[in-house]
Formats: sequence, C-alpha cells, structure tokens
Amino acid sequence: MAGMKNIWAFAICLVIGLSSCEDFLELTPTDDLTDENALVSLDDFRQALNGCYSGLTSGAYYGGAYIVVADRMSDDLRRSSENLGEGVQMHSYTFNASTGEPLALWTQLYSVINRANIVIGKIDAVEGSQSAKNSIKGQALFIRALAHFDLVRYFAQPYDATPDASHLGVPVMTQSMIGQPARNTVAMVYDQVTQDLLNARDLMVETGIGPYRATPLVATALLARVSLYRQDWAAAKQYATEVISSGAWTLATGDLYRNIWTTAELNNEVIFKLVMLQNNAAIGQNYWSQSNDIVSFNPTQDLIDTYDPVNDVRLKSFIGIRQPGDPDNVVTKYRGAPLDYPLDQRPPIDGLADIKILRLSEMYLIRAEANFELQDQTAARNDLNAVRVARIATFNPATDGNESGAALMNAIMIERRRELAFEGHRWHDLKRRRLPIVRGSDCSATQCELEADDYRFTLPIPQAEFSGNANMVQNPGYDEN
Amino acid sequence: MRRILPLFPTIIFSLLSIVLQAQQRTVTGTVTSQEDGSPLPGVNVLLQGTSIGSITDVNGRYSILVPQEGGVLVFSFVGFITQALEIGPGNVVDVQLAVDTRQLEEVVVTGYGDPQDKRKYTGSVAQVGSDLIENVPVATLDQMLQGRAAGVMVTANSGQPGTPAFVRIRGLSSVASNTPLYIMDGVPISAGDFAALNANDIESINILKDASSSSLYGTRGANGVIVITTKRGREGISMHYNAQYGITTRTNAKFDMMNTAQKIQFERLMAEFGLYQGEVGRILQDGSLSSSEKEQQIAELARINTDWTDVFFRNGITQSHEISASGGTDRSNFYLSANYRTEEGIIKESDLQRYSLRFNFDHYATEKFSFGISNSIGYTKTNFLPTETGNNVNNPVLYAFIANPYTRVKDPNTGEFEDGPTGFNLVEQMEQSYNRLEQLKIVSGAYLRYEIIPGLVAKTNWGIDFSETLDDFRINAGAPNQSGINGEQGVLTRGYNRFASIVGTTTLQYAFNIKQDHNLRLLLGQEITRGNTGGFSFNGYGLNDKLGSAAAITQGTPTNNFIAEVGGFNTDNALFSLFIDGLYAFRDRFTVSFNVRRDGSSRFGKNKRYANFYSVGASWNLMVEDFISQFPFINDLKLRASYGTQGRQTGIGDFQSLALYGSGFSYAGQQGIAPVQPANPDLQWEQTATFDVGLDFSVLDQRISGTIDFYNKLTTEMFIDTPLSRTSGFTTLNLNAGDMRNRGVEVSLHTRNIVRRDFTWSTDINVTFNDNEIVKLDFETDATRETGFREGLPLGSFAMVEWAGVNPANGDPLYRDKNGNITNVYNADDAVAKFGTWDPPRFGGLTNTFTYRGIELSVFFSFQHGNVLLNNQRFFNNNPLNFGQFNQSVEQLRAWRNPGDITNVPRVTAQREFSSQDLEDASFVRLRNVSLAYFLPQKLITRTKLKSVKIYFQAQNLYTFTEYSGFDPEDAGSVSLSQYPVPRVFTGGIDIGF
Repeated sequence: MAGMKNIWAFAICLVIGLSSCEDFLELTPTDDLTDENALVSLDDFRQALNGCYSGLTSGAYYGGAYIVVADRMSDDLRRSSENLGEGVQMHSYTFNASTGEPLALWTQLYSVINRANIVIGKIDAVEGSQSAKNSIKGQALFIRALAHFDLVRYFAQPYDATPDASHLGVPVMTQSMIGQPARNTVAMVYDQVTQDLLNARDLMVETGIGPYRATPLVATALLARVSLYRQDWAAAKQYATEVISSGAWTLATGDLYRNIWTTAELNNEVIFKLVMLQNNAAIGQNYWSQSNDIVSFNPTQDLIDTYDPVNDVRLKSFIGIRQPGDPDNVVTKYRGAPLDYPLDQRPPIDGLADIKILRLSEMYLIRAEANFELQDQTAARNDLNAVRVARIATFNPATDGNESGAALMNAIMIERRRELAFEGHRWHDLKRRRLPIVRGSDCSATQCELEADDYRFTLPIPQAEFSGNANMVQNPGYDEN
Repeated sequence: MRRILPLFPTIIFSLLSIVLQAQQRTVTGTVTSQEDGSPLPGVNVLLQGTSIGSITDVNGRYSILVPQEGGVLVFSFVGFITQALEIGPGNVVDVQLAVDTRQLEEVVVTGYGDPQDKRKYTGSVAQVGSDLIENVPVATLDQMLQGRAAGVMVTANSGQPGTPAFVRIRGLSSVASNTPLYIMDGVPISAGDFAALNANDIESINILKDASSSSLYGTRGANGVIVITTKRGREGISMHYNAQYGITTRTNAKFDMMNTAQKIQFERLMAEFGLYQGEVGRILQDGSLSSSEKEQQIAELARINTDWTDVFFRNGITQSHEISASGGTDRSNFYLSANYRTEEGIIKESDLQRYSLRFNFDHYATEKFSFGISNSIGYTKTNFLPTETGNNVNNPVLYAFIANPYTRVKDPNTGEFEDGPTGFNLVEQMEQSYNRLEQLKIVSGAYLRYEIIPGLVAKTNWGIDFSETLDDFRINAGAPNQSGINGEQGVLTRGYNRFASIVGTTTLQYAFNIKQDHNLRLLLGQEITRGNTGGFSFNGYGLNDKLGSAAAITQGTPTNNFIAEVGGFNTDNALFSLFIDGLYAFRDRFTVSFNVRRDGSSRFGKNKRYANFYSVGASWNLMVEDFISQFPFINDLKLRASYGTQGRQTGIGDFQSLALYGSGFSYAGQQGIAPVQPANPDLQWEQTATFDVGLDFSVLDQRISGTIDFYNKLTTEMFIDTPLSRTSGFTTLNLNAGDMRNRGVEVSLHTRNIVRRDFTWSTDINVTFNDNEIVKLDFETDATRETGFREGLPLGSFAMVEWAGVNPANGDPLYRDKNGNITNVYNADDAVAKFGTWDPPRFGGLTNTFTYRGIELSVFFSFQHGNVLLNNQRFFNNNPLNFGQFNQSVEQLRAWRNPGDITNVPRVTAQREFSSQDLEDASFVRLRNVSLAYFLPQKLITRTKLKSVKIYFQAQNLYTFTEYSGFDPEDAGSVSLSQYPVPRVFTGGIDIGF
C-alpha cells in the first residue's frame, strides 16, 4: 500500500494549504491502461493488434458461436436427446430479436471492429518503422473487413436480394466512436470490405509467419470468398487462382488430412487459422462436451449419407460413434485429441482446436463455382475433382467426375457441404444460393424445413441495439419495437 | 383500553397508606443491576403515593419507613427501567433493575461530534438497542435489523451461515446500489462483511434516514447511514460468560415433488404423448425388450424411493461461547470480549466458525485531555456449497428436488455411487470438493480529544477497516465431474484478497449558551478516506488428492495441460471532505440546524470532481406551549422537519470515468490489449433530495409513545447503465440519466399495555409504506421481460406475458396478447408490466414483550406485503417437455390429457414459456423470533457468589404465513431459483455475570 503513506503527507499538507493536495484525488489505475499510456509505442500497437485477433478467438465469434449457430440452423445437425435446451431456439427457428445468439454475435463482431478501428486510426501517429506500422495496420484492416463481412452474411439478406444490392446491410464502422449509425446498404458494406482487403493486401508483407496471422495471400483468399458472396464470379476466380497458384499450400491426402483436425494441427492446406490455447474457447464442446458426456447436437444422417463410408477420409475425420454399440453419431472434428485417440476417452483438453478460417480446398471449390457460373464447366469439374481426388481414396475423375449442368452445380454444393462441414458454411451457402433447408427423417426440431428466402435466413437485429440506436431498422419479418 | 385498570391499585394503595400511616416499620434491601448484578448506588426509592423516599448508598443498600401492612416501593434510576414492588410481610426487599435501552435512545449518535440530545435533534433517526441484538442466533448483524426499525427493509440473501443480507433504507433509491453506509465507532466499515464481527459487542445502532442526519456524510449518505456504537466500560468491574447451543433445521418447502410411484406414472403418461423421458421412458422406448421385460424393469425402479432432500439437508448445530469483562475507574474504562461461534448450515458441507476479540479503552489523562481506542479482530472460516443458487447441476438445492426418486445415492450391493440425472452424483462430487473462505478482519480506531476552553473541543479520530480473505475452491482429481477443468485431474482455485480503508476525521466543536436561553453548537470537520483493494489468484491443476494444500498441484508443462493460471488486481479510491454542522436551540422550544459538506472523490469524472451537499432542519417542542396544557394526556410532543441533499457514489467503480484498456487479450501466447471501457468524464455522484416531516409523541402517562415520519426522497442524476449502440464496441455506459422518487410513511409505536408490579406487557410496532416510482429516464428501455426500468412504474416492476390458462380442447397453454385477446402463440413482445414489483411496498415488525418476575418473553413478527417474485423453480419443476427426465412437481399429475379436461396444467408436450403464472405474491408474515429469558432470583445466586444468572431460549424463523409456493418468499432478488433456504433455528443459552 504505497499510497497509504501519502495520507500522512496529505494530513501535513492540509495544514499548509489545500491547493497542493489535489494530487490526493488523482489516482492512476494499476490494473488497466488509460488513454494516456495505452498506445504510445509500436509495441503497444502490436499488443492492440493481438487484442483484435483475441477478439476473433472469442466464444462469441470464431471460438464458438459464429460457426456453431450457422451449423445448428443448417441441415447438418440435429438436436440430441441429451440437449437441455442449448441452441434450440436457433435450431428450430423460434428465435427473435431478444434471443441471445444474435446479440452475442452482433456485440462481439462490432467489438472486434472497434478494436481494429482504434489501431487503424491511431497507428500513423506513433514513432516506428513504416513497414512495421504498415504490417500492423494492414492486419487490422483485414480483421475489420472480416468482421464486417461476417456481420453482413448473418444480418442482411443475400447480396442479390435487390438487383443493385441496395437493401439494408449493417452499419459500416470505419472509426472508433459512440454513435447511432444507420444501416448502410449491402453494396456499401461489400465495397468497404473489398476496399479494406485490397488496402490490407498492399500494406502487409508476405512474412511466412505461418497461418496464424493475416498476410497478403490471406487477404486474397478472403477476397475470393467475398467475391463469391457478391457473385462477382470473375473476381472470385481470379483471387482463388492467385492463392492456388502461389504454391504456398497443397491439398493434403490420407492421414495428413486427418491430422489437420487433430492436436497435430497440420498446416499443409491451412491458409489462415486462429491459434487456440488452453484458456481459449473450446469450440468442440458446442457439439460434444466429453467432460460432461453431453452431446447437444448430433450430425444428421442426411449429412453422413453424403460421404463414401469407406473411402472418404473426411467421414472418419469429422464424425464418429461415441461408444461401441452406441448408435449416436458425434462431431469429432474439434476433439482436441491426437489421431486415433479412442473416442470413449476424454481428450486432455476437451474440444480445444485451432479454428481454420481459410483453407486451400475452399479456394478450389470457390473457383469451381465461379467457373461454373462463368459457363466454364470443364474448369469447374477440374477444380471439383481436385478436391474429390484428394479426399476420396478410390475416386476416379474419368468415371466418377463427369457431372455437368445442374448436376455439376449440385455436386459442387455437396462437396462444399462435405468438405466444410461444421465450419459454419452450409447455412450461408444455402442462403446465398437461395435454397431451402430440408432436414432429413431424423430431424428432431419442431420445424424441419425452411423455405428458400424465408425471412429467418436473415437474423434479427438484436433488440438491445435499438435501445442505444434510434436510427436502427429491423429486418423484414421480425417485430420492430 | 387496559390503561385505566392498572391504575386502580395505585389509587387504593395511596388511600391505604394515608390511613395506616400511624403504624410503621423499617424495610431494608439492596438494589442491583440485572445485567451484571453490580450494586447500584443513588437509586431513588419511593413509597408509592407518598413523599416518603430514600436513596441507595454506594453498596446499593437502602432503608425506608413503610406502613405496617401493604405498600408499594418504586425504584427508579437513570438508565434503568423503573420498577414497583409490593412490600411483603418481610423486612427485606431486594430488587434487580433492568437496563432501559429506551433511555439510551435519549441521545442520537451520528458519528460526527459528541452524541446529541434527542429532544433537540431535528433529524429522523431509528434506534435499535442492544437488547434486540444480543444472543439472536444469526451470525451477521444486518439480519438482526430485520423488522426492527421503521423504514429499514432487510432481506436475507441465503441461509448459508454468515452471508450478508440485502438492506435498503426508505425504498430502492438507486438502480446501482442501495447499500447503506456503515460506521462503527467512527470508522466506515465495508457493507455486508459482518461475519467476523460479534454483534453482542454492540451497544446501540442509530440509523440515519433523513437529510438532517445523513447529509453530513455527503456522497455516501444517500442510502442512509447505519451508525454502530460498541460497548464501553463503566466504573467498577463486571464479567460475563455466555454460552449458547442450538439446532438449525430446514423450513418446509411449499411445493411437492413426485415420489417414485408418481414419477413412474407420469413418465408413462409422457410416453403416451410420444415423450420418452427418464428411465421409464427409456425402458418403454427400448425396442429390444419384450413388454414383460419392460414391466419387470419398471417394477425394479418402483422398489426404490429416495427422498433426495434427506440426502442433502440435515439438522445443523450452532454453538457460541463468549466471555466479556468491562469496568473502569474514574480515570479510565475498558470493555473486553472474546467470542467463539460455530454454526452448521442446514445443507451438508456448509458451516461457519468465528473467533473474535474486542478491546475498547478510554483514558482521561487530565480534565481536558482524553484518548481511547476501539478494536475488533475477527477470524472466520466458512464452508460454502459448491454452488448455492441457480440452475446449476452443482447446486444441491436444485439437485435435491430434480433428482428422480427412483435413483439412489449408492448401489446397495456394490457401495458405488450411482450417476444421477445430471450425469454424475452430486453427493460424491461434494465429498470430493470444497469451497472455503477464511477471513481475518480488523476494525480499529483511535482518538484524541482535547477541550481547549470550556465548550471548545478538538477531536481527531483515525481508523482502519482491514480484511484479508483466502478463498479456496477445490475439486479433487477423484471427483466425478471434471467439466471445464484443464487436464481433468482436479483444480485448486485460490484467491487472496486484501481490503483496507483508512479514515482520518478531525473536528472542532464549539457548544455554548447565551443567557441560558440560546444554545449553539458548531462543528467544523475535515475528513480523508483512502481505500485500497487488491489480491491475486491462481488455478492449479493435476491435484494429488491426498495433499490438503497447494502442494497438491502438479507443475504445468507444455504437454500435460496442467499449466496453472495466475491473476491479480489492485484498485484505489480516495475521498476528501470538509463539513460544517450547526445547531441553534432556543430554550427547549425551537431548534434549527444546518449542515454543509463538500466531497472530492477520485471516482468522479474530471469535469465533476467536487460535490456539495447541505441540509436544513427544525424542530418545535410543543410541550412548552401554553395551549398544550389543554390536553393533559399528552406527555411529549415534538414536530420536526428537514430538507436537504445527499449523494451516492457506491454504484460506480473506482476508475469508471476513464477510458480504459485491459490486458489479458493475448493471442498466440503473446500479450494483447483491448479497450474495455469508454471515457466518461462527466460521470458524477447520484443526488438525493429528501424532505422529511416527523412527529415524536408520548401520551397517556407515556403508555403510548411513538414516531411518525412522512418523507419524500427524490433521486436525480441516477446512475444507469445506458445502452449504447453496439457498433461502438461497447454495450453500456454508466450515465447519470434518470430520476426516481420514494415517498412514504413510517410509524413506530411503543405501547406499555400492562404495567404491574410483577407483570408487564409492552408492544412495539413499526410499519412502513413506501411508494417508489421511476419518474424520468433519459433513454428508451428495452424491457420486454422481467425487471427492466420503465418510466412511471416502480423499480423492479415485472413485464411478463399474461397467462390465460389451458385450452380444454387440446391442452395448449394460452396467453393474452398485447390487446388482451387470448392466443396460443407465445410472443415475448406481448409482455405487459402490470404485475407489480419485487420490492415490498409495505413492511414492518411487531414485537410483544411480556415480563413476569424474572421471566421475559418476547414474540417478534416481521412482515412484508404487496410484492411479487418470479418463481423460476416452477420453470424446471413444471416443464416435462424440456426437463421430464428430471423429477417434476406433483402439479404435473394434473396435466391435460383428453379433450374437455379442465385444468391449469398444459399437456406434457407443450412448450414451456415464462408467463405471469410464474409470478407469485410474495407477501408474508413471519414469526421471526421468540425469545424467553429467565433471570434467576437474587436469593438463589447470592450464595454462589455470582452476580447474575440468565437462562434463555430463542427460536428464529419459526413459522411463515404466505401464499408463495417456492422455498421462501424472503428473497433478496427478483427471481427465486433454488436458493439456499433460510433455516429455522432453536437455541438455548446461559449468561452468567460474576
């Protein structure tokens, strides 16, 4: 209690004169940083950038909810009989503006944007090497773009809901401020996202620092995905090609592929992922908490049936049977265990695994879809088959991979579903392709189908936002208060 | 009423005494104090109805001439209850006088300056004497105030021994915090942290309620101030030994869960609806079993019938031993006490042990110079339940009611624990874990007092409130539930916290008279307060269950997943204040008073660092007016009024006005920082303006006395977590953004119904009517459910969808939509706020005290009326669709089955939603305390050389009259959900003075 001795000094100074005692009330926090000392050196900005990444790892974002909510709303998961109510509102489409999940997502993603905006807005004033500053700023721009894109995917109707994407998107935040911003159009959000990613690409340098931080190619890969969502097929093709032909990654096969999903955390085809350490969110527990031995959601039979049960390496990578004789299938993609770690044993850190955000196989599938939309079915087939050959041991492109027309597009969608299962893609894919949800016979939800373009494909703006923002407008279909 | 009757004997005896004056004899005796048996010198002894009198000598002895037959002696002495005794045939009349705590209330202790004459005081102060606190079988003093003082609402939070209660004075006047300021012998002590303090050391409690009394506490006064004065010695010596022994038991829950036969029947019913829940559901659904095999398995289950409440609840033992000594000479005095107390909770694994010491000492070095200390040291060790409340599988209060009766704690054949419905056995889990808090608390103060010239007194008082806590939470490696534990081999979480608050108060007081008619008193003061809280904690993993300390932890390596987590914190605050307190009294007729305080606080924003408060008050003693003599039945009548402002800063954190960045946002093992709080430079105190008008009276030979107060308390600049657009990256900002009003009436009455020679009956009643309303909110609320803030309604008003029963045609639950139409669609947006508030608008207490010779019986009821609680338990106990695998309430046996069934329980497959049917009237009348004390007659004990012997029994929380169907309508929050119920306590004790 160093401060306590000040009391005596203060008692004395009281006698001398009050004006000199103002310091008594000027206390400085020791647990937190203030505006005066938080962002002074370049190293402080490195820490602030880590704070942005840390925001991505949150259980309300990539550490859990962002991925899990989409999966629960999709046809890949069914509510297990052990489920005590977790995630059921999202699963059965009974959510509303007061439901917890949309609020958690909305809040966390804007929190990440604010962190990025503080870095972007203040870094130019700090002393330090320009390239280091550029690298930090570029990564912050990447993160800001990612969060805006992820918001608009959930909270706005798909890009082509209006011909010029003039329907409501989400507020674009390019500076840290307390305000009451109105929603920008979807086109404006995508423009900002694209611009941020292009700027990020220019500012960052290819450092070979592994897949844990954004680099120019990571930004390019995200540009490919963003372009796909805004149906700019040529751009999607171009960006995907840049990533694929960079040669930085190759498609993994066999056990190599399986080890992407184990504690071996193989990075062969991982473009960008988040490191998840002991105290980070354990995403796997959202599907199967082995510590409590509670499965809240099972994979659907419908999904399991899309895989070749023997030859597709993905089935045993992603899905398993809990115990011998137990008919319950469980999601094993994020077990946090080594390869061949027995399924009936609890792994040391239950459900903890790095979060793979961008992988090479997705680039192939993006380019396949873009090629298809650009009327180049041969190129589309080639890209699709490249993935299938890598994953399915017995796959012969000449005999098994000859789809064309609608069947080809369908095959691309099936491949996306198989390859990207439990990574939060399926829901958004159905939404942007304007397809319905049709859950299989093992559906245990109160609602097993959702028509294409149902208003619930777009999450409600959380009620709490309206309390602090008079300019907010609710999405169609939800009550506005 | 009965007033007249007891007066008759007086008149008759008076007549007799005149008639029989001729024949006289001498009676002698000794007058002693009932409290400690010490002789009382200077006691007036009067033969009733005559002017014949005497005074006791230094040994308490007297002699008096009395008539040959009959006659009544009246013994009176300042500070003691006057007693009348019939003179028997003998010539010796010894008497013990009881301390009159009411006499102590003739002064008001505000914590600043000397105690003030209550007759001249202009403020509203409730007083609780030691007689209401001593030996109450509760470990914390705040709970002892329950129902004892008008305007003071106290609700127990939990039945866990040693937990603080929720105290609010004159309603909820803040959204942020309603905790009053506690001052003990001039030292502010942390609220709610009383387990280590021995309430038997308390002499009196003064509760400052209005502006006149509490404005002097500036930014901390708005929630009222509870001024605690501890005992100090008097001349002579007296020692006491006090032992207490008791049992705590569970009160009866007002709801019934199913037994095995009922649950099996119910699971069959659910199965009929396609809902296969629980063991029976599982058996019925199992396609591999023949129907006779199914029935055989169900019959096996039917043989088990476990009452899980018996598994977790128990009768606890409480014990207390205390020894105290007080005494002094003409130059110094002391009070010394040592206490050991142990209290077992009514749920296994919860208990409290306390060791406390107090030493108070005053010394008058010269006629002008004195000094003294007040010191208390307490050490407590408390075992808590792993989880005490809420929908948590580790909460035994929940588990006891949701565990199926056809499951067992252990398999009788193997002796192994059986898994419960939550996937593990909580009995086993509790045996393999503990949640323990050890605390060392010191409250210590010292003063110097110097009288510069007569009437001018300088005093400086320095004190510290210090506590150190060690909080251990341990789950053994062998515990069945390792959920969320790194490495899943047990965890030891240890937190060490230190709290220290230092206060220094220096005052200069001048009191003087001008021509005896004009009394003036002026107090100038300066005060500094400096608070610091800090601590650290760690989680260690990989425990060796045989080792009881942190040595059990396995060192972490990058591969074993036992890497320990460490953390710490530290925070500071400072307060600097200047104040003036003044009083002018004209004779005994009028008093006017004022005070001003200026507080500077480190917590406020840069733009709002200093706050000023003031109050003015006046009182008028009507007894000196001529017209009052027309009303001879009035013995005392005083009118008071006060107005002033007080502040509140308890609701804000130490650095809440600053933009803050937190560490701990690491990524990939590297340090990271992120904004955690936006800047708020205009953050300031909340302000409360209170108007109070009161009447103190006493009528009919002081048979009825009391106080009535009307108050209007308006809080402005109310702290509210104002919602922000989340696009800011933050959720809320604590702004000064609303007004709230409390107005009400407080009535306290003390009536002496029967006053006879050997029998008295007196009654104390206090009732408070409080009306709360949020007058203004600066933002729109988002309050579709439960307890949001709504302009025009009381704080704590519920908004719920209105329940409209069950559709007899199909068993659907029905609701009312916003327009009042009945619908089977539940929509949270249909919530309406018309069901009332959880904060009781009416409350009070009623005590009847009877004395017969040495026996004293006191029966104390407390009540609250007009509030509702959200009974969240019902959501689990009446929810077969989601929780049918757990035990359910017997209400579910009335569930709708067939078209045409008229019932209020929907079909088992209906979706369960919160609605107004879960809101229940939580009014209650509780027989809170019955105490019986017997003072052994002096004749018996004089032979033993003891001074006094008192035997007593107390029963706490004996019975509750209520409609509420949860555990306990006394709930400190808005939602009741499997909270640790408050126990019923029976104790007996003995107090020996020697």
